[in-house]
Amino acid sequence: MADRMFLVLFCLVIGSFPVCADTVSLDAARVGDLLEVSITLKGGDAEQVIASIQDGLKSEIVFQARLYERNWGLFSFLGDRLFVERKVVQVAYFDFFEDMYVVESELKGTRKYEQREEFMRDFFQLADLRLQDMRDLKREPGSYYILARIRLDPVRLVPPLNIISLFYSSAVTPWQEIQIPGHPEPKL
Amino acid sequence: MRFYPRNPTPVGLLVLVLILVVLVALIVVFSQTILASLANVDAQANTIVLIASIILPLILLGIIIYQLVLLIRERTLKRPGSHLKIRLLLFFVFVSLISSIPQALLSVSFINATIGFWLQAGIEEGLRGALDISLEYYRGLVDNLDRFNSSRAMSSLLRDIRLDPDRMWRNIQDANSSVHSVQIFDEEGREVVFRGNQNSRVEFSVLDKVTGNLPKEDREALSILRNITSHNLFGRVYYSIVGTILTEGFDAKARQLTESLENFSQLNRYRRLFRIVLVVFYLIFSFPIFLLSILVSFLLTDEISRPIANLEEATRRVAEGDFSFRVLTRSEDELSGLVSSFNRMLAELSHSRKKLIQAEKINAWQDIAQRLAHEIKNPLTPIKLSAQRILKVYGKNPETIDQILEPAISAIIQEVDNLNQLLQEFREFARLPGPNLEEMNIGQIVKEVAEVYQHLSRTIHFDFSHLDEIILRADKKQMKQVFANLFKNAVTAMPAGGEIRVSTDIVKKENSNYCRIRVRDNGRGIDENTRTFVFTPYFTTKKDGVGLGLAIVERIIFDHDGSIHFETEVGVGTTFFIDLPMEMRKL
Repeated sequence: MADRMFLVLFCLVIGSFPVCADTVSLDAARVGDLLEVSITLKGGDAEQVIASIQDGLKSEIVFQARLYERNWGLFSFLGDRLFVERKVVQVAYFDFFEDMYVVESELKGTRKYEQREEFMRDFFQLADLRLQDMRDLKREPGSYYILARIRLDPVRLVPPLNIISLFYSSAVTPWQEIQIPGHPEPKL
Repeated sequence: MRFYPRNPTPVGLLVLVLILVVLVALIVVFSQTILASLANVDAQANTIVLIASIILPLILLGIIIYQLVLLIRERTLKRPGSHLKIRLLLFFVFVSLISSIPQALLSVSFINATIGFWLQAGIEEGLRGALDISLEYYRGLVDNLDRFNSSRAMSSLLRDIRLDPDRMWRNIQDANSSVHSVQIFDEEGREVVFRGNQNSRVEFSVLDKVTGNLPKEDREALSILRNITSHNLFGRVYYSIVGTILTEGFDAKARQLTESLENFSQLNRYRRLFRIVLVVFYLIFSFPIFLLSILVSFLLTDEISRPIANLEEATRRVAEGDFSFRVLTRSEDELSGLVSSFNRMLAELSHSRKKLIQAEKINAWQDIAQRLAHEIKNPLTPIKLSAQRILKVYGKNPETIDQILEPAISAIIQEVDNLNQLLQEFREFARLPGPNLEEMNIGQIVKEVAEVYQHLSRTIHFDFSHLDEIILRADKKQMKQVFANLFKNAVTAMPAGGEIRVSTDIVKKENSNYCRIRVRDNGRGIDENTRTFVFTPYFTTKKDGVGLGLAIVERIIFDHDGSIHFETEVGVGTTFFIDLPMEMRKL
């Protein structure tokens, strides 16, 4: 019994340090004076999401984008400065009354889809996220870069079950980095 | 000497109370804030929480292990009160367990019972049934609108669109009571007729001439279902939109129903993991509190056992002869009364002991004075007699004085020399200094001393076959004196010659190791009447002896924290046993 308990605890502790095989496709574009990013999850387990929401549950995907300013020189060991961070949460479920897939987010409101493929494409993607006004980026080209990652929970746990996520959370992709448009990568 | 007990208790208690307050605050914050908004906690935050929940108990565990190590060390060193401390600690831990284990079992069984109650058979099925009924009702309404709007009957009813729209509306209501509104648009999207509930009215431009069921629209508390169909009337195309308004609150209730179903479905799916996590959570919160209770137990144990340990220490010191020891206490409880009584008793004991020592000293000096007077008186008689004889011969026959002068004066000188030797040895005995400790080889010392006696008497044989070379910390000069005195006595006891065997051995007394040196002779032995006085100063059976040899031996061995005793048998011989500590403490 003690061994089993230990095994469970071990798995819970290990589970709190997630590793994910999925990757992030990250694009950035300059639209006027605004810096917009599009983040897409590649290799996300669509079947698990569909199975979950058709079972009456909800799935959640969290897009996290950060704009960093490089810290060069004497104090580079302190790390780069986080300039701005955006986090967008999208929740998906199936509307049994209307036979439609629904995606809800604070950023884009409620969207309904009849077609499964269209729903999956939109759920795994966050397009045209306004990250920053480019006029505020005063430093020279190459001083800024973007990091993004995605966390997918095929089953969004409801309270009080969500305490499970303290020990075991769904996989999070590694951070994906790109240079912002018009700011070439610095030569080191 | 005064003994001041350590008194960290108020500070320690304050620290523990602070830890408890912090712990409770953390638990409250954790449960109120973090658990309530877990949905927003990302993996990194989870890791921080997890690490925090591990580090705190680990710190407490570390302190407890440290305290335990100290306690075990105290026990190993046999510090006063350590045994009582361990027993008290075990008692407190036992009491903590008695109170916490039933509580834990109760909590876990309560959790299980609650989850079991939530998941009792039928609730999820009931919810799914309710959802199916709702869906059936909803789809019935949608199908009804679709069938009705695309039916020929509807096309017929719409023929009154121009002549009498009100009659058309009445006929539609008669034909299908579920229809709460009708809206007709011409091909250009202009509204021709609208009848029914105004909430159902819609702009045609948003419809884009798509026929079929429209998505459900929510307006405030109302949910509206619509169907749009095209009709050919009078050679033109018209679009009819029939609408029905769902029961007020239907949408909210349907949402509640799906959410409840989601909750139950999740609970059912993760109940095993949830139970384990709840137990882990319980442990995370309760384990530090349990550890804290053990820490408090340490503190209370220390508090309770300290006065008793002080008393134990005091009795030990008194047993060692330190009567100046006093126990101080700051408390005002029963133990302080006991401590006061103990201190009073010590004071009286110390006073009595001083008196006793004084009396013993006087007795000893009286005894020595008597013995010394006796020893001095003995040679005085021949001195007096010799002097009187010289005077007498000088008075009566001065011419014959030459005949007696030399032997009389020689006798006087001899006795004065004896007196001088007596006083010299007395002075040496009285002034015997403390041992000057250094590492020495006891076997080597024995052989060095024996060599002298070997030269003096050819009839004496020394046997060192069992003499080991053991290193001791002792005063080399004094040790030589010990063996010289013993060998001297042995040689005297064997006038016709004999064997002196010296052997060494390691013996253990209680927890200390001793070097035991045996000096055995095969002389005449010591008779029973004399045995009691062997180590008594000025007691001697030899004509030319002073009686201080063995007294000095005993004194030297005693000064080395050792002991000496002997076994003897008349006609067989005597063996002296000397025990010297292997680890001599610094004097």
